[in-house]
Amino acid sequence: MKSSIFLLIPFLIGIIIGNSHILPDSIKDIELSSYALAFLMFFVGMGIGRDTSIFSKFMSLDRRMLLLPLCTICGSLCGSYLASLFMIHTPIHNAMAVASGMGYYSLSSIIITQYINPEWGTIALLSNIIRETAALLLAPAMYKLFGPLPIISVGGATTMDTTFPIIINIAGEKYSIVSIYHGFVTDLSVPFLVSFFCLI
Amino acid sequence: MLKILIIMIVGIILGRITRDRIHLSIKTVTFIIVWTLLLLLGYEAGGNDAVMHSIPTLGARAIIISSASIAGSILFSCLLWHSIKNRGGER
Repeated sequence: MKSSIFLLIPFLIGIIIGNSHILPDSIKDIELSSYALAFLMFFVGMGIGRDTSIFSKFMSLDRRMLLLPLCTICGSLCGSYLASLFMIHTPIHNAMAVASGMGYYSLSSIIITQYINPEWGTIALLSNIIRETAALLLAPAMYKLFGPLPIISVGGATTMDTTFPIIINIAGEKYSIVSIYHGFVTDLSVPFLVSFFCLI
Repeated sequence: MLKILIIMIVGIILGRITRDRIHLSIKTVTFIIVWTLLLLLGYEAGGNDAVMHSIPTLGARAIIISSASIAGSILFSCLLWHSIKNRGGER
């Protein structure tokens, strides 16, 4: 829990700097996060290359972990379905389309804005930013309470990129392969699921 | 995606070659990058006026949907984790 609170600090500093507009907007075009990720992937690769026992660690992972993306997708859809039953002004398929974004806020909000309306597009944007932020901030606490797989599952479509560093930092490099596989499958499913729930 | 994988493979090869010479802590590196990414995520959300202005009106629905889908994902992945643990597949 303490480390989760500790992670709030850079996030809040970021919000304050962003909201005050003190930095020029051109900074956003540099895509600093993709450089940070490239840098990280290089170091994770170095770590894997140095560790002679890492391949046997990968092999010791249970094959049933291949089902994790399915758990993530079913969990997100069931959760949003149940929530929509208790909410006003919330059609079931709209809530399920938003939840199908699974953290991939840019793509899901664009699709939903086009197929439903801008209001739901904004809800998709907010909801999926919240999911990504929660995956990052709550990862230490969730690991203690539930184990390694739920922190990957909550990361949704982002476990191959933005939430990847926190997952391997907390669950260990052994889970890097599960995290990349999970992110890849979930990421691919987002455009199909979001469009499907928008169109029914 | 392909670029990221190529960078990682280059890292693996370099790590193999230099494994007895260079000592680095992956934990420290990932920690610094987690901080950087959170700072950037906050910066992007805070700098996006559409996001900040819609929080009071649409925020409640967004929070409920995201919390419910997070809870669902936790529940299903917990069931999988317990079935793996109980059948001795993992420690």
